Amino acid sequence: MNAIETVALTKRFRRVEAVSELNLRVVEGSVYALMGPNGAGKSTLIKLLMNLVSPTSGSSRLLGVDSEQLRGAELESIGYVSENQKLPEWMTVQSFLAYWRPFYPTWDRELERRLVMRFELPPKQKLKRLSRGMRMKVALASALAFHPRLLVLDEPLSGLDPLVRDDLMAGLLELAGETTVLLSSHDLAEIDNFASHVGYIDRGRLLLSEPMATVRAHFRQVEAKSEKELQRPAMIPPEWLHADFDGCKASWTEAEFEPETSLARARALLGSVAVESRQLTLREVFLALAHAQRESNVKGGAR
Amino acid sequence: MKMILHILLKDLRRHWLEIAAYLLVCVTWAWREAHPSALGWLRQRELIPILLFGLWILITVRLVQGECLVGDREFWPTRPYRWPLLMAAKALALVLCLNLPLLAAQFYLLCHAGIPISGVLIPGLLFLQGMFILFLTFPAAVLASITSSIVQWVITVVGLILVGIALSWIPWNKLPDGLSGGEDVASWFGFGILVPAMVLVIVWQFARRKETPARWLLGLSLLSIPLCILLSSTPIVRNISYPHVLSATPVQLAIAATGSGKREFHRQDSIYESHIAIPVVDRAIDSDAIIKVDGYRAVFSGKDWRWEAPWKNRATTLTYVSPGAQLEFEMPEKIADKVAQGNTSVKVDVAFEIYRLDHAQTVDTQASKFVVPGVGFCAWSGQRARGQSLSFESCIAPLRFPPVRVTQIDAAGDACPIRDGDQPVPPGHFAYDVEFGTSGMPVEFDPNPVHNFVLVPSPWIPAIPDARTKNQDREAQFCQGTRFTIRTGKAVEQIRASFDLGDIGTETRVPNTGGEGDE
Repeated sequence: MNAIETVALTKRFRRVEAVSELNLRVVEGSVYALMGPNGAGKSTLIKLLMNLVSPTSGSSRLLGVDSEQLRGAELESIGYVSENQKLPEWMTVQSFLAYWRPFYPTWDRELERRLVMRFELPPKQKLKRLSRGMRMKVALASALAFHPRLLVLDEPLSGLDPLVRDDLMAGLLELAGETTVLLSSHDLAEIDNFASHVGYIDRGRLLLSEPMATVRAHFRQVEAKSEKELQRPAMIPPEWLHADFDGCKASWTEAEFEPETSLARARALLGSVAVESRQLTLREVFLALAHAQRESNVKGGAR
Repeated sequence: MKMILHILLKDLRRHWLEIAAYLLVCVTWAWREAHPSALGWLRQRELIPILLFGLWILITVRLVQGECLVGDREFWPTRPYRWPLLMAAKALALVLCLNLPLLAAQFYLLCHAGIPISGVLIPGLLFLQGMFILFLTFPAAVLASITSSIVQWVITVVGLILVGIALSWIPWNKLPDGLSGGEDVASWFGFGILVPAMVLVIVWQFARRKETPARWLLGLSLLSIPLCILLSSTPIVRNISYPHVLSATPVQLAIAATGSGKREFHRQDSIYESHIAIPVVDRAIDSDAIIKVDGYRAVFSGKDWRWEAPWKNRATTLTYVSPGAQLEFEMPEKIADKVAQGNTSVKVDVAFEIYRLDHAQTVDTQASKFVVPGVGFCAWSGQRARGQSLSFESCIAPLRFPPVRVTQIDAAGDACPIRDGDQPVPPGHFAYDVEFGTSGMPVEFDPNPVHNFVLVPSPWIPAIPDARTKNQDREAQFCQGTRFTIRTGKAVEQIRASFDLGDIGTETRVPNTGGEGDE
């Protein structure tokens, strides 16, 4: 079952299309990392999912409920934390957590206590006196303490120092349990290690949505070497992202890497070449996709 | 209920400072109202109510915006709030923090004024709280529901005021005169649009948080205000508010002839136009009725001409004691000249309200404190006792004044000492005064439920010349021991009737004594 599902979801702000005909599926139990550069539409997509803004067209469902119908009862099993949220800063950590308790029938006092300890939250401190990282921890604690079925995190780690970030992520992974997590980020280092699925969004369009293992297997950095100078083929295959030709060497990011097929394709286009491939980090995949998207935009613009 | 109280307690913790300030101001206000001469530094009577209701509005806005209904960065909409419970918690907080202290202050003021809190007063006091909710809390809350901060709220209010100022520049005075009844009907019409629209806006915002349609809806409904002004002077609204009757009414207007039986009207010319005043008398009025003329129009016709005077909003009161009035018209000089040529007949349409009076009750003012039935209480203060008129502060009415009250002092009831040179009031003379209530509402829209009123001195009828002041008649005063009768009444009918006054007779010129026409 999909915890999140969108169908042709579109959000237009006057002339700007922040989210465009987007079809996303997040499998229940997965940790889905939504990647994309700043301004790609990640936050808008999440706000659409959480019914914080209304779609121009299309629809989305969270845990089987239409986002626009998300109300009290449905939100009892969804946790949401965003870097931009306005928290009730006049509250202390203690009163903040105490306030939310009666709202959730599944609130776990023991888990709350563990979260407070794990995140080293000062109970008597007012939220306005806390650092940004600590505030995020408080928000996260309040979003985890009721065992949500779905946790939606919008850039929760943005701007935090690495120590706090690691701490937060470790805590999240430790305590999230069976929760489905949708996490948006433009910083790949945050998600490389724990995401089970990854999606890449740019200019409101979902360009990639795959299990992490598939991404790791399919995205390869390929380098071809020849004794003579390599000519750039007239038609570069669409699977070759960000292809670079430099004398006797050529390199590209293969988006559909299959050892046999990819080698055959390279030889068919470049002649007798020695081909080497290596696995990419998520950061490299992200950069290749970003470059490819930029090149396609430039070409589109030139046309 | 548990959840409502949970949210309510959070709000009380959040806004305790504003609420404490409001309570303090409320106590000060009540004290100041009860002791007008105390607290010299708070002489400025208007200051405390401004502070009181300023805080009222501030708390309303802050409470509603505590869970801000605008914006996509709010924390609470992603939490499992049930909007009806949230709305109920806010409403409860507003009533508890704002209405309840004011109600307590009103109880105190009534007790301090010596008015017993009876079951009769409770519905009125609750109605008054309802009015504060409707006219103060509700509009402030509606605006708060479509704005994201107090600053944005203030900007919106300033914007609305500017729109109001811009609308006031429209030359509304070019419209035909609207009658008060028509204005009432138009106001109810506007109310009928604005209030449901505001309810829809606030419920929509709590339930859906889609501020753009809510703002549009509110903006469009506000257009009903200029629409009502336009409507109030239209014939259709006039006909609704004053249905035309052909049957007999307590108003049967005829020309008031002079003592010698001559019919005459008065004319005064200015450089712009001529003013004509036609004396009329109501020949059908009885002692149980008070007629409040709200306006009239007329058709003047001569041998080969006809001129129609538009509706005029002129309030005149007719009683069985003074059944006469002057119907005044402005017209071009050439029409006035035609009227002056004689043989001019006039037909008038008169819009009026009929008030029916209850039976008279005698009031004995001998005691230091006495009841004025149907109105309130009066008390003699030590220094202003025998021989003095009641001071303004001496009479109080709880919550409201009756729609109309009539006081009558007969010569035999006069207890005021006879001044040097005056004779006792001869038998058969009486003084008669009519006072209308200030609004048609069940209670006056005033935070202070204790209203001062005056027993107005009025001239003796028939007139008794004042021996000490030339060209002035003696007035009947209220002194300790004066016996008078009081009758209260209410409006029973609001109608329009036509009267053929016939020939209005000859012209009497009135010299122009200055004024706007001379500029």
